[in-house]
Amino acid sequence: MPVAVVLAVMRQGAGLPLLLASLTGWFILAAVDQRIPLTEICAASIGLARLWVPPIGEAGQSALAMLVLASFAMVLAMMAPLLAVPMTHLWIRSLARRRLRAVALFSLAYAAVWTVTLSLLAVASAGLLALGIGWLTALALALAVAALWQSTPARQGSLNRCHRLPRLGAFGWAADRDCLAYGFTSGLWCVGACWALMLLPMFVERGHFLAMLAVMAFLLIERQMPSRAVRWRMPFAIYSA
Amino acid sequence: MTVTRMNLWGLGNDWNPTMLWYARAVRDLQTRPITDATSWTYLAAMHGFDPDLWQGYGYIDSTTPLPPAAARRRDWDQCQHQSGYFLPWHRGYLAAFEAIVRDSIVKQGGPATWALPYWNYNEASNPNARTLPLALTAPSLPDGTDNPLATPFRYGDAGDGTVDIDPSQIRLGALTENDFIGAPSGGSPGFGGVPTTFNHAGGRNGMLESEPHNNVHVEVGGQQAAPPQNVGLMSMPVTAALDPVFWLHHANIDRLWEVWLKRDPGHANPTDAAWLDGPTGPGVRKFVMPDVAGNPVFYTPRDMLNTQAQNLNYVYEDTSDPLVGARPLAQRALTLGLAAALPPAAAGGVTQPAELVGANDAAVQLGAAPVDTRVRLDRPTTARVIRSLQSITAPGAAAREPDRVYLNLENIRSESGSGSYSVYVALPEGANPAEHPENLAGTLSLFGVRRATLADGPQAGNGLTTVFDITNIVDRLHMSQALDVEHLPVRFVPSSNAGPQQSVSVGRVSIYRQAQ
Repeated sequence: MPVAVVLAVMRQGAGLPLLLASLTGWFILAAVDQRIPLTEICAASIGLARLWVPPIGEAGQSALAMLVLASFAMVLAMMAPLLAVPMTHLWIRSLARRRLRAVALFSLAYAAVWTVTLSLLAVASAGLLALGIGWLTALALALAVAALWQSTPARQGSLNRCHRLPRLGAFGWAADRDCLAYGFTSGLWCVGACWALMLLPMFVERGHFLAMLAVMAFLLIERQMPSRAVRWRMPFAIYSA
Repeated sequence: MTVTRMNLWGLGNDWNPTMLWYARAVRDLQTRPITDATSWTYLAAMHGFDPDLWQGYGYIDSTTPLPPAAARRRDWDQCQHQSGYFLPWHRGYLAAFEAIVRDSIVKQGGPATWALPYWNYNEASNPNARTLPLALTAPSLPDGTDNPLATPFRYGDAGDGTVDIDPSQIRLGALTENDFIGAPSGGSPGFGGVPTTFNHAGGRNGMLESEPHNNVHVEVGGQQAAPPQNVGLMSMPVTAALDPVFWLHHANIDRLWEVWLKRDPGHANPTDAAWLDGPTGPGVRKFVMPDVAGNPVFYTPRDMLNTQAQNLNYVYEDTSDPLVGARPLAQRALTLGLAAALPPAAAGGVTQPAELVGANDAAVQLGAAPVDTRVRLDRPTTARVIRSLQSITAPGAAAREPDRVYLNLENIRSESGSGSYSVYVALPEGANPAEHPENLAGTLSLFGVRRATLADGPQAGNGLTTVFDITNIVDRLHMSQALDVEHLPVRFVPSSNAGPQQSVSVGRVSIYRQAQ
């Protein structure tokens, strides 16, 4: 991860806890990788095939559990550093005794959206490979999809909405509901902004972790930038107006 | 050579040489094409640019060639608001403008000592201080030609073209703030604003930026009372610098920075490198201004600290203290009935983070009529505020300033560019707000709100947040045993006659405490 990126995270109030959360995610991913290589979970050349090739036995359930665990760890590892601003917003705008609860409810909703999305993306990528398309062809296809999506106005609109800092109720169910809704909608907009890029590492057979780190660094730099006009853009051009 | 920026009204209510040369230079700049970095329009676009609005006012049309996109990305839409960079960025902006105007004046045979005057609307000894002198309103110059300093798009508070600022909107409480940089946590946003990166629109107003700065913008620009109810140039950041009075208003804001530094030995500019050398970060824009030849010159806040340094070279005619030594701690001790003044916070002490005390239940929609809302208070947190107030009168208690209390108006949104509301706290039931200036928390001004409301604008439509220090109001309620520990009523009263025609919403009205 570039030093400037880490520094940018650390400058924000919630930077250190989020960086620790991210490291935890990476640790879990590494641990899972020890048991079943992530490329197999993500791209399912072995594990995922058992999800839809009946009968789903004990091994299949294990693969499903691993998939969900790996997806959750991937959210923690790659998305936590992007959440410094929302976490600060939740912290500042909640009563002191409700702060942890606010952060927990937001995180629950946000992680749920992403975990489901990543699991579905992994299944889809597995399906693609199951058709007999080679790793390189699949990667080229995913790159083309990502480049196309990155250039669309819809993608920029989603990214802009990741910067929303909505009203949060202070008391009771209204406060809980607002935190859950904030996490859920943030998760959806974040998926809209990042799904195509998150697909890429699933097709990188070697250097899977490096690919994930590179995507995370890109997303982190991009998230530091202010919102931009919604229009067609050159894909991956972060700094244009 | 160091030049002196003079008091606008002190120059006289006539065509004095300073204003006559200003008019001639503005006319010269206005003849230059927008592609020229020293033109009137290019310089105004550096503050903010909106092609649709500019076409509406007739400054450009759909065929006007604009500067290259790269130059626009580097230079335009640069003004720093809702940010601790508000003062240093505008200082650089004014200095560049002043140098370009002076260059034009000298080329026309005028004095090389010309300096931008400042409009001191707080000048107590001048009953006309809150209006504009003849040079900014007369239709023509002494030679009969059109006056470039007068614009038809300056509507004033009443919407009829008359500028007469409401004195309740230009209070100078910001000068009593201890810290230049505040915290974006619901407590004091500081004299100069909160830490940000490059921040063009949206976020949390600093104290000086909120009042008098924002309020003067809207009081001068206003909105036309008669159809088509145009919004005045000064009311919106994307058009403000097209009005020649903009520069005189900002000279005064810049002067108040010097006044703040001088009025209390404890007041000082930030010393951290992040502010001094900012803004920094991957892909973050830098501050840049054209020199008199139109070449870009980059700068940082560090370059803006000494007005007499080579790159700035000016002083103000008057930087005396308009509050004549008033100290908030001494005033607070009086309100709280203490025999001795409260001790100042230890130098270099850490500012405590603020804590939410309560909030209202739903977003508030504002319109042309007064609107009431209630801030529900959290009992345990309110009890902490009350304990801190009681602690100073307890026998043997160590003298320490009690909590300060702040009203936050969060996520202020509107598609209208103009309008303002007086915000009252704890008004007695059925009371006429005008008869209770002691309950006036501050003025919610819509300067900058329009762009901060755009969902795809730089701040994703989060709107603005304005913070009012209501410590004195809470102190008085406490002393008169009238502090309701359950709720605090807040009333919004439209304060400009040509009030906003479109709806304004305040996402949340909240109260924060900040331990001292």
